[in-house]
Amino acid sequence: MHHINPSIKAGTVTIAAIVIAFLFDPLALLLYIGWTIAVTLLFGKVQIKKYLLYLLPFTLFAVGMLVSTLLFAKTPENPSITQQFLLWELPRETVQDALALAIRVFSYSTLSLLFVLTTDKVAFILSLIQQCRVSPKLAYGILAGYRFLPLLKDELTTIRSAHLIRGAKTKTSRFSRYKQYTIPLLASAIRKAERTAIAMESKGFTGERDRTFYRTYNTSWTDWIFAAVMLGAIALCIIVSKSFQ
Amino acid sequence: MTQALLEVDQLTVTFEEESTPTLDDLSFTVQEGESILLLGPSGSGKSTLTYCLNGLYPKELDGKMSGSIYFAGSKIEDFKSGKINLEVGTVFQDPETQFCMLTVEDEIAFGLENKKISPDLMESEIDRVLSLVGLQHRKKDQIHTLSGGQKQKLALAAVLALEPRLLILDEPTANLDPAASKDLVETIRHLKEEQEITLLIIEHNIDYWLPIINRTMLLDQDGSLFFDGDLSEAVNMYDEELQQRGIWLPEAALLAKQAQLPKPWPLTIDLLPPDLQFQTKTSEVLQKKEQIIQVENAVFRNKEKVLLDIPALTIKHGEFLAITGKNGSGKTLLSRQITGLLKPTAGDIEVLGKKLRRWKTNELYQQIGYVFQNPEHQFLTDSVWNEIAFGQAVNADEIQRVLEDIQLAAQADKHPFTLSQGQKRRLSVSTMLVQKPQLLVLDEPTFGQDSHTTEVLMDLIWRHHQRGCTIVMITHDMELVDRFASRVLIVDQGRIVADDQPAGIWKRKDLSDYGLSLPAKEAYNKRTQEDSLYASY
Repeated sequence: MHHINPSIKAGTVTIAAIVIAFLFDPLALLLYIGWTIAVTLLFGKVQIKKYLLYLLPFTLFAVGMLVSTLLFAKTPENPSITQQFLLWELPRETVQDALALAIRVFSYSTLSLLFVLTTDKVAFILSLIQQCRVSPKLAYGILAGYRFLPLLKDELTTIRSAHLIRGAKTKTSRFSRYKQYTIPLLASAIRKAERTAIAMESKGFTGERDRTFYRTYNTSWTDWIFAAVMLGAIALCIIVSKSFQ
Repeated sequence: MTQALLEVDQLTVTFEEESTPTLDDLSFTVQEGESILLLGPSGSGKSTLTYCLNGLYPKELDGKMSGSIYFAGSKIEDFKSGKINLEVGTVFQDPETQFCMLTVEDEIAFGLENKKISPDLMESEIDRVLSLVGLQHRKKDQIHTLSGGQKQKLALAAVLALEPRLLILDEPTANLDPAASKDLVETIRHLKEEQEITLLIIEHNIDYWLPIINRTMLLDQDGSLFFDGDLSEAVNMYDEELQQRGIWLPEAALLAKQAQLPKPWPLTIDLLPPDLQFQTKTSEVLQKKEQIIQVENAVFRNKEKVLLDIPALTIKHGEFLAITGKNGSGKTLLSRQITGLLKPTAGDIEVLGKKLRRWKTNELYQQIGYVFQNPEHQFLTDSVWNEIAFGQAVNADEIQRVLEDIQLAAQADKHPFTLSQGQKRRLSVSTMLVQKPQLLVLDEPTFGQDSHTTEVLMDLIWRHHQRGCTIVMITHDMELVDRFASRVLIVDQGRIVADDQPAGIWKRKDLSDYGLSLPAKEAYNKRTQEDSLYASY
């Protein structure tokens, strides 16, 4: 999994997500979720514990979707056909809609996790330049910016302390406090960005596409097999689900 | 005559919003193999010159540039985009903002990719430059795990990979502790022996570079070339002018001046004559007995490890305490703990006889002040005047007096962010002092400042200390420790490893283990003692 070309992986996941958007069969979706999780855990070398931890917030979100769709559903066309769901007797249509929606949200989460947990960020960005012809200027800019995130967090803590010690009022409104922090934070972010840009240019970076690569990312037949299998699995899930009904 | 590597002819740069040029009619030539030290007061256009030489200007310049620069006989503008950067490499001062990749090898590869080197050759090239700077063992590591000194070596390696003929070092040691600075200079000296490379070194700290440089250029405040020749000549002919412009003299020359030796003054301690007498520190504030800070068993840890472990520490009223040690040893962390800015994971800290958690925040910060490393972090208002007036019941005369004291009266209406580096620093220290705190903590107040700002600052701090303010100052500057501190703490890996008066500290043999060095006076005394020891044999 980690060796699948990141661009192809991203493309496959995106296409799968689009196809799923038009799939309303809860059983087929459930099967596909099972498939995605299995692929992630078996071929992605992801620890189960870590995986479940990441999945938890998405699960809560999906359950939330389920409950709210059940409670605030539109009036069904055939209210007489009902179905036992957990403790309630609810119109079957409502239950189906709600389940389909919640399951879809859940399957998006498993797909995203499949990508995020098995892909190196740097590899993804470098592969975007090499396979998807993304401009190096943009891609290396994102990489450089990525380095800044932890720095900015530290800086915000420092600014907060520095203002505290000046006796700046802490009980002012949240908005004016953010304004107070924004100016020094922005000033230093701009300065840092400028310095990094200068350092990059000083190493001969021009933003042109014409450059060599230390880490080359190629597409091989395994990448295409991965794409075919992931997308083919959707069709398979639909067929299996149909055969049950 | 061989062709000059670099020829600058009547270079003038004027920024759009400025009325006077930043670089004024600059002409000089650089021969292959020279090592040039470029000195100048802050704001004299040293960095601007760097950008002109490596081709960033006029491309990125908001303003006008006239005159011409020839590199190896061709005009810099005639180089293809990106090509001049491969000939002129630059190492900048801030270790945090020079990189765009996440790992050491990728960062070096970035330059090689720009140079369009075949991927097959990259690996060996990366190994070559890493071994030049002694970082082979960190090849696969994440950049953020490197120390400041290692980051600067990586920046150097990344530039060396491009095989430049001219290497510009733009204050590369400005953010390093003394030992890391010496180590970096040693690396560059070694490099210079290994390969033919021309160096242009911009620095505040002349002393480190003495073994390398063979020519000195001085820029004046107005961006014109004021001197070009031998450093010894510059120091001996223009010492007054240099000091007026805030340029640091070599420590040996300062000692010679103090001892009123006749010129010419030597540049290194080794060349000073024996038996010089220096004034020792006279004014010691009478120490009151009460303690202002008391720490008991304070521990601060993050998820992985203990970052600070202080079994006991007492700071008394009227002390001038210097905290020193390597970069990243926990000095700043300690200072944040004793001021309540960061709560310890376990243990007790008392300030003025009251536990930290019993203090109300605003009352506590009436009593103690803290000056942060970056002055901009502390500015709250939109003018210099308002900064001083903020939260204080002081009248206009008082504010005016304070502003004159820190030589900022003319800038009273300016936005604090638009001030120069030294001005910002003076203002931030002053905002803490107007409230007359009982304890003032300063985190590297003189870092990267010119000698002028350092003098003004230390004078200000010293006067408040005389009035009774207890001072805790984090610093790498051993000269300041020697001149001002009444007590020194050395922090290493989150622990206090030494707590003594300066005289006791200088006797230790393990200073370099903690990133420290001897102040010039002590280095001189040590040398003369050793000399007399030899003589007695």
